[in-house]
Amino acid sequence: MKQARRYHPLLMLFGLIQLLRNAAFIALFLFVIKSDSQSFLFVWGRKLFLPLIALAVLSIFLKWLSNRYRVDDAQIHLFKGIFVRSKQNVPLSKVQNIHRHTSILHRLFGVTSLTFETGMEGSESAVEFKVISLKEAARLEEMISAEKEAEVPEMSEKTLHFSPGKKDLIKAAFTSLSFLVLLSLLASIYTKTSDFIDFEERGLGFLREFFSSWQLQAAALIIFLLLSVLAGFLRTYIKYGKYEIFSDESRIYIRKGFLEETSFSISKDRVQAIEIKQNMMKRLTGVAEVKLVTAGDVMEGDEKEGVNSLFPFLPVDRAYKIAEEILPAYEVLQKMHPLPKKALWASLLKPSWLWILSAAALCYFRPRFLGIEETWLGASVVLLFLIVFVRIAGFANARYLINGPFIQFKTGIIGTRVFISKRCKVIEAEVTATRWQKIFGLASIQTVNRGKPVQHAGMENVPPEFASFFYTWYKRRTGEVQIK
Amino acid sequence: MYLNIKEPNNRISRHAIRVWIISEAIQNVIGFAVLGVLFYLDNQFSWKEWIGWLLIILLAVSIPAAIWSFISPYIQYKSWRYDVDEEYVQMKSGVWQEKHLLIPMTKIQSVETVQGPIMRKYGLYSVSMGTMGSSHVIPALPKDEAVSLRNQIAKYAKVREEDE
Repeated sequence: MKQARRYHPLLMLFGLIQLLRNAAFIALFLFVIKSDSQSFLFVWGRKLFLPLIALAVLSIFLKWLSNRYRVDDAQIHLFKGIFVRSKQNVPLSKVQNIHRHTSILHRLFGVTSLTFETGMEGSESAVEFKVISLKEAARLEEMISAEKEAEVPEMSEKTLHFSPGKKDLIKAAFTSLSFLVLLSLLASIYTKTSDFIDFEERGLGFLREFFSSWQLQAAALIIFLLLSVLAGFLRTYIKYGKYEIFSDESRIYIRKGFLEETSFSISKDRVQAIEIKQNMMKRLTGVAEVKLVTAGDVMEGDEKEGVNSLFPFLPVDRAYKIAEEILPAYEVLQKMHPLPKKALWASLLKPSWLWILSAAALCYFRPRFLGIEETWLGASVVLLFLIVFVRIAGFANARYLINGPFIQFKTGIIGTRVFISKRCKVIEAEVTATRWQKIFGLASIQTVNRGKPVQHAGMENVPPEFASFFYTWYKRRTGEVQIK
Repeated sequence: MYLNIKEPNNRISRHAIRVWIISEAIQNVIGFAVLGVLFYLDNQFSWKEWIGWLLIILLAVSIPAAIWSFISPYIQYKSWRYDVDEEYVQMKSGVWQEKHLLIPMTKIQSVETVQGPIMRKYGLYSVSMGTMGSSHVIPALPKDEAVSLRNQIAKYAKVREEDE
């Protein structure tokens, strides 16, 4: 049996850098900004600062010394803890997808970070190697993918499906409104720093005088606009310029990023569903984002955001095709059934509690907006129009289809979302019919899929015959799932 | 039949009606007590006028709701059906909304029997099962039935699909 290994020694350096980064901010606060404060919190904070830092440094070192891992052909074993030792086993077969993120710092040292997502509940659902050598990362990745591919001994060739060209990038830059980036950046810098520095006092007054002539103002505006366009393109280029979608026999690989590289790979049979999303801008420019729904966590919000997305600005036709190309087990049809006409009536005539309650409240309180007496009337009419618009748009965008073992739903009001899944990936099916729907001869269907968060998809106001068909359709899934 | 779906066969215990009515009654008593206190406070401290109106509306809604809560358990009981076989758990329920649910056995992760204080009086248990997405309850089964159902589901649900 192989010996458990320590993590890469550079992990300590990365830990220290992160500690410094956090500590610097606290130090700034303790010793500079609030340096005169005699409050109990800050006095003690200043005294304890250095000892605590020393302790944190020590713990980084001890953690590296005591934490180990081992990977055999069935499991990842993790040994953790300085005083309280714990051991965690993660079966390789539970790994849903693999992330690799190489920050600029990682690149500087020729290392990377690697995360295996298991899709289990709780905080320890992922196995993360914050720093790992490229060689070791490749070895581990190989082992995980090999686990699923025992029956396909030869590594098949990877084929490149998509890499954005100039046209795609220009479209991307426009669609993402990246020209506003500079503006929002400046605004955020201003709001953040104005907490500390009073701009009115220092300098801004001077600036105001400087820009008093209109020629200067116009020039400044033009320069600013040019700069924002440039910044927008630069940002788009850095973010999406190097974007590659590969696949081989059994896995899909998405790689992106110019300075910081992120890659994501998933076994094809672990894809729970496909999502094709368009917001308003994307509908105007005719592009769409294809996302793979996976059971493993895909962290949103930080730099890993959107790793499960095949390029977010694919031309619509291409989006549908590429989904089929990389997932030959999926068949995606663009043509789906619209809802029956009576669905529109059912949704338009349904009493809106939101409107009734707000209209009653408006009517009673009669608030005045800009001194206008009839605000209550105007506001309730506007709200009514909004609700009617939402209902009509919801009806107009809705599409559904069952095609062999595949199910597709399209929903949305301003933006749209097409959800495509396979019968064997759906974990629950539900058919409902309210009394209201029964009056009009309608029913609703709903599916639940694995994902983080759990994916609920469905369609309201389909004909009851279709709803019944959906139920029996789902019941026939037993024929196509393989049981261990 | 509105939907062309074969209804499951098994019904829940008839005592469910009593259990539901008792628990609804307790909730109603608490609800009306709170409302009464609010009316008293409104009167004592002369709160704003619209609060008084809100309370009156609440009362006006609560009275039919309370009456309904004595009728709906009968319909609820009548509408409940469930079925468990080797492949699926099927449930059908609903008063205002007819609801059919189909869960593959292989996707059930946990199953437990639960008993509340009122249910204890009638020797009833509910069987609650969790999938990766949510949890579902078959309410009010006699003890033997509930326990054997739980064991049966636990046995069937052991099977796992290939790609999990």
